[in-house]
Amino acid sequence: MDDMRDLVGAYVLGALDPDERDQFEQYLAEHPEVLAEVEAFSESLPALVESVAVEPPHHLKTAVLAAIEGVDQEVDEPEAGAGGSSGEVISLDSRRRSWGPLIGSIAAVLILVVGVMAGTGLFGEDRIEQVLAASDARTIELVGEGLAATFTYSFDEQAGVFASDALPAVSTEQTYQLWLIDEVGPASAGIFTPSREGITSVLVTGEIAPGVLLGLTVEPEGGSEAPTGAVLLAEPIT
Amino acid sequence: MLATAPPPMLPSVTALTRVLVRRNKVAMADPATSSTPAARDHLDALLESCGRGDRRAFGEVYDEVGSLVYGIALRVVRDPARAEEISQEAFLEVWRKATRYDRSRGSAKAWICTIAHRRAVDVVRSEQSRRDREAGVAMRESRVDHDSPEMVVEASMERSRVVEALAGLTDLQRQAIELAYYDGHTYREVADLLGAPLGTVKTRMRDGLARLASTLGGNHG
Repeated sequence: MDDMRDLVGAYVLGALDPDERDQFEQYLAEHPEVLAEVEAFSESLPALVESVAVEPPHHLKTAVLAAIEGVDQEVDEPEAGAGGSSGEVISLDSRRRSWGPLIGSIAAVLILVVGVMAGTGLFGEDRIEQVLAASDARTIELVGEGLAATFTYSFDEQAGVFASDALPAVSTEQTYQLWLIDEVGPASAGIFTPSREGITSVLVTGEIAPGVLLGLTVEPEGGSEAPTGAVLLAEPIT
Repeated sequence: MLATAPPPMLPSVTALTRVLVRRNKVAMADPATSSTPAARDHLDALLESCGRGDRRAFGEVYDEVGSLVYGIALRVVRDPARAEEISQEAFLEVWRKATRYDRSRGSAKAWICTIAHRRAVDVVRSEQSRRDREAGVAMRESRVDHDSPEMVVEASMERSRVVEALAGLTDLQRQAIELAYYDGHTYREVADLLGAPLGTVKTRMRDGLARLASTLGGNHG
């Protein structure tokens, strides 16, 4: 159907209305040679956009990075029956809902850490207190599949506190191990097992510097020289 | 149990170290070489990492294309606050759909530009259809070619390259492309604005893009 094929330019330029766009995409699915043309034309778009590029306000990056926290990615599967809904971006409101509980749990962890400091204190609480009280103390969040933690650190103190209330228990032959990873490679930053309630706060000393990654793996009892397990959490120190 | 059987998608430390090394190398390289094949590979690879859930890679993708996403949104909607909203939603869509990105079907940059442009156009069209009903013919004069001061951006090599490439098109090809892509008009509206038959506009868009592709494509690398 040549009428459809004439719409290639309009399609690439985004100049079809939604109904026509859907029709054309159906047509594309059946006409690989036209799809190839679409793909070739589309490579001109970045140049058209470069010529109107404008540096966005700084806060936009923060907003964008915060927005993807807790947002699930689409499962990569053929679009069959996917319809419109799976392609839709969720609303701001539902994003806030998914982000909210995480903030809550981070706050809870911080309260727990303070509680540990004030209470029995198993982890060198004087140092932990110093780090948390440091004037340059900052906190990053680490979020992985089903786990979350915070890392509060101070360049002045050259130390940080890794805290979580949501780490699954490991077997007695295993331990959690923290790593500080720079471009030379990973260096162990300590091993620990969470308390029975899953509560953890660990003092981390070592290379606390911008760009260094803090990572978490599970290792055989006693820890490893270099990580052998998959990285469960990782976040750069900023 | 998570501890004994880690999910297969998680990156290894070796992979993370490699990313760090590469990132530092890239930071030391000339940042202006955004159109080279190596830069294309780098962005494509970053978007693929995003598809595997890598949030740090996503931050780097943002650094690479933030000014493109925001720029095209601003050009189409001509309102900084709305352009920010559109950019944020476009990046969220990039994150969610990165799992589907396939570099054999095109560059990450083109893929992202398409997402951002489509969002901007959808917004401006829904407003325009409302305005159209209210304003009728009055908008016909006001639409064509008005650059507001905030649209003026720094001259760049890329920009002059595009200006040159656009200058190589016929007037009708160029106007059709600009009205559609930068102003967000449908090809029907473009035909109306240019007083040209629909069939002609469709053909000019296609021919114009083919010409752009050969001019711009030839300059890469």
